[in-house]
Amino acid sequence: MSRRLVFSLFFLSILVLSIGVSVVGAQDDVQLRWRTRPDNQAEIDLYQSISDSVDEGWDGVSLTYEPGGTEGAGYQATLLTEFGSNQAPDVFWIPGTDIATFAEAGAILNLADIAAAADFDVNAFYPQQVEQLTYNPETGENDALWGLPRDASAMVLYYNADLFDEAGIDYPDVQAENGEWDWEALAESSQAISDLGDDIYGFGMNGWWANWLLFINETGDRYFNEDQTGCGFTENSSQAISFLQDLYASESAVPFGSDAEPPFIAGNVGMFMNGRWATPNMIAQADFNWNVAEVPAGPEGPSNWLFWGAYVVNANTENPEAAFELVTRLTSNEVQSQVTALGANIPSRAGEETVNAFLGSLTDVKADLNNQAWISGLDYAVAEAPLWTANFQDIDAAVGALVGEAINGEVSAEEFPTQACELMAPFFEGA
Amino acid sequence: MSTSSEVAVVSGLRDEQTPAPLFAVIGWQVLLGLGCLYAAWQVLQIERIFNLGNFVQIFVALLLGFLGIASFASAVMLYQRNGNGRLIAMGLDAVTAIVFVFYALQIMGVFLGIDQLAEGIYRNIGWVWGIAIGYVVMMVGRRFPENSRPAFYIERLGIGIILLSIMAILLVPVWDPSNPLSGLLLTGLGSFISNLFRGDVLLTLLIAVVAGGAAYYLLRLSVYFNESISDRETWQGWLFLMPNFINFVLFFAGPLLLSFYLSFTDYNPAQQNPANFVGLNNYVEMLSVSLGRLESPEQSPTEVLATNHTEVNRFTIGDATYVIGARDQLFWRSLFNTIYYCLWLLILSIFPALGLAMLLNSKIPGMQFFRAIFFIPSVAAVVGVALIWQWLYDPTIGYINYTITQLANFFGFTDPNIQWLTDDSILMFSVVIMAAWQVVGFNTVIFLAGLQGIPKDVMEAAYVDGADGWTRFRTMLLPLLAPTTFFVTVTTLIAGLQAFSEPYALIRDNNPTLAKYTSVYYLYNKGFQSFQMGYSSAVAWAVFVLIFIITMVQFRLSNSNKAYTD
Repeated sequence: MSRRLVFSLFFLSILVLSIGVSVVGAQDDVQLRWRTRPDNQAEIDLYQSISDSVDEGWDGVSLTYEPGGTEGAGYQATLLTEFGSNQAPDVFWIPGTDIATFAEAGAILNLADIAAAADFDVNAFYPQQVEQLTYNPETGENDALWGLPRDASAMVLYYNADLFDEAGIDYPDVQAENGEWDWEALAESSQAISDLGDDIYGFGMNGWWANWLLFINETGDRYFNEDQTGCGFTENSSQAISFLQDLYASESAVPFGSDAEPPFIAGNVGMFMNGRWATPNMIAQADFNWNVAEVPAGPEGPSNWLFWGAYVVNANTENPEAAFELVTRLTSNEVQSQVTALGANIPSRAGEETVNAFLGSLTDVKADLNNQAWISGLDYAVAEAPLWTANFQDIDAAVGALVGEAINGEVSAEEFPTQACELMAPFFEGA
Repeated sequence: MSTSSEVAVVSGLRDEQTPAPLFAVIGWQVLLGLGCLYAAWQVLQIERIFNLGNFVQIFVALLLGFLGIASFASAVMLYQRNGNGRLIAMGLDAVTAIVFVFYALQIMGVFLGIDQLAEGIYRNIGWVWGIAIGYVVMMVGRRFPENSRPAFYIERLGIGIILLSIMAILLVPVWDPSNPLSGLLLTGLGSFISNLFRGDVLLTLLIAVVAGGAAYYLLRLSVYFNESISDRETWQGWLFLMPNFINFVLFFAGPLLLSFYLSFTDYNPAQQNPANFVGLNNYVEMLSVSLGRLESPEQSPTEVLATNHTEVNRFTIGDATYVIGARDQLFWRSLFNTIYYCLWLLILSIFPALGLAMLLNSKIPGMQFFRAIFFIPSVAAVVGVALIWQWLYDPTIGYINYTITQLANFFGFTDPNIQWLTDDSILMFSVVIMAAWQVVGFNTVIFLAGLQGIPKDVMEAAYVDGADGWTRFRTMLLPLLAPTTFFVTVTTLIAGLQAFSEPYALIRDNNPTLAKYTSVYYLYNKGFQSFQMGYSSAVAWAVFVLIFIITMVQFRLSNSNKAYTD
């Protein structure tokens, strides 16, 4: 009887509360919901505190931060579902490559007029990002503004200094300083480290597009042609595929397609190519001496990726001006410096203040961390670009598989550009 | 035709004049009908319903129009003292009341408020320990003899702690620590009351009350409408069925029909413009295949295939090499991968499960423990399991390759150095091994139940008749287990055809290979990565048709063997 009473009271309370608290926060303020994709709980906590502090210092506006995604549904799946029911947040983050898809669907606002009215200067961000974010497919000019970049990232080579010492070769950053850090040096270093043992690999990278495409970029080719109407691979790309074929055929690299991060963290791989987002995990888990260096230069010199994502404004927001204001606040120097301190991101503002904040980040836990490698990489980086003329995901699924076959030697390096372009053609024609 | 006993229920008001309130109800039904027709007209006038397209708009308008006409008809029939009119009106009014109550809760923000409730409890989470402590205290009290003083006092102490903890969760300030009135209960009640008196909420609730009142009034007029017992049982049956029926319509049949409709559109959830009806285009693109003969194996397949078709596979007959192409090669590849996955899953999850079940059916001490152990993978989360298997499969630091290497060194054979998750020829098999490991425990339990249902005397009779173990297994056990085997086969096959989380969690983006795609993984990518939800729906229906056909064939085969029905 008593148990029944307790549970009855409990469920009654739940019922009352579910009704009662429903409207907590229903005030006269402008209500804005915003969302970004965090990588871990520390980032969730940080973004929440940023939201709280922005909210506190902004009269007449009330913010709700949503981390987005659950265990059962990814960030994008949740966002799309909410769009389907007209419940998407006012401001949200999307990857840079998705800008075209959202903009063409009319899901996000062109903020150019609002930014002009607010006298906002977008040139504080990296120019490569601004070029992509301001492209207007209707005019072919850079007169739009689809959002502001949340952050940036670039590729580096994480290297296991202990393995380099054991192999008796210079660290990659030393080789870079000597002007010797190119593909040949990478292959030689990889082989020398791989020779240390059967379970040791010299090099590893993951299989998604930015990894293999970086080598193609270093031959002067690009994924797509300049006006994005077709394939960008020429016979130059064969050099990159040929180099990768040799590298993987020598068995000095972690097999292409497998996740190279766990064996690197286990101390079995000499060099691992990845972005800034991998650094916190590396600091937490790697129990050997390691550091980072710029990626080696190819036949046409060095290249890199400027990864980015942007805060954009929902086209259905009831408060576009306030939403844009929120975007500017979320990309301010102060906020970017706070996010940078966590170590997973590079600020998208290229000013001295944020760059210095980045250069000092994580040095309290790893004093010799070569943060300069990322900043140097950004100087010659190519921004990942939204594809306005076809569906990038579809193309990448088809071409990515071909790249895997080519690197594993099932398709010759010479045939690769032709076959890749044949694969891409229907996607552009059908778009 | 009602029986005399049924008629006995309906005496009394039969010859009375039409009761005055019934005229009000009739008026209400007319009003409701007009409201439905007006709503239907408005639905047709609004620019769009989300971005689902005109078809959905017309369907909703027709539905509302139908309900409006039904309401008019019920009014006429009520006036004519027709029992069917009463049932129709009762149904419409009950549904109207329910819909408007939910709508009132929605515009008050109640459903969104559940999130805030959770957040509020989370902020006061420390007090939840009080509930646990109170429960432990209560349990301690129950260890004492019943009706004893210690039991009485300790049990009530526990209840008191629980109640105090609940009160603390509700009353301790949540949103603003400096404001003593910002606890969950007071803030919630304050907001609730302030919202309750909003004009739109009051109007919505008024309609709900009127509709509910009309339904209740009609409910009481059973005698006036000569309701028989069978009539009463009918509508009561429908009433009991209604929660499940609403659930079925809203969360099963509705989405199913919507996805069928969307498969004929170019629906993109993010798009602002309504989806366009594209007829069979999605299906044509998905199923379009072509065949070409290559002059030489080196010739480019695009030269011999239809425009925009890419190679799916090639084969050789005599000296001629043929190439199969498709407009959507990924669909066909994913379909092939799915079938491959299913076949291996059946083999690797049914035979071991049968063997395990026979082992676990023996009366050996500790067998309950092993039954639980084997079942654990079935209840483990796929993502967690996949992380473990990623590690096991790792070619460099994984235990599986390490073990093979040790065995190779010991027995002197060449280490195959299997690339479990990167070699296209073995990748899907690696996924199957993980999936079978998860499924085999569940299948074992089903087989175990089947084995325990087999009469012992039958098996003993066979033993007495001199049948050896293999003969008993082949001629007695297997036929008697046929219904169980059929069930296990069907459920495993359907699960296999719907495989998504296993390859998704195990492989994901590290490997760009096409060998990782099952049909459902592919449709997920199409829908949620490429935003092509219309096309994705078409793929979903193609998978459904495949599952349906395979299951039908299985049922037919099963019926012809008299396995399932016997």
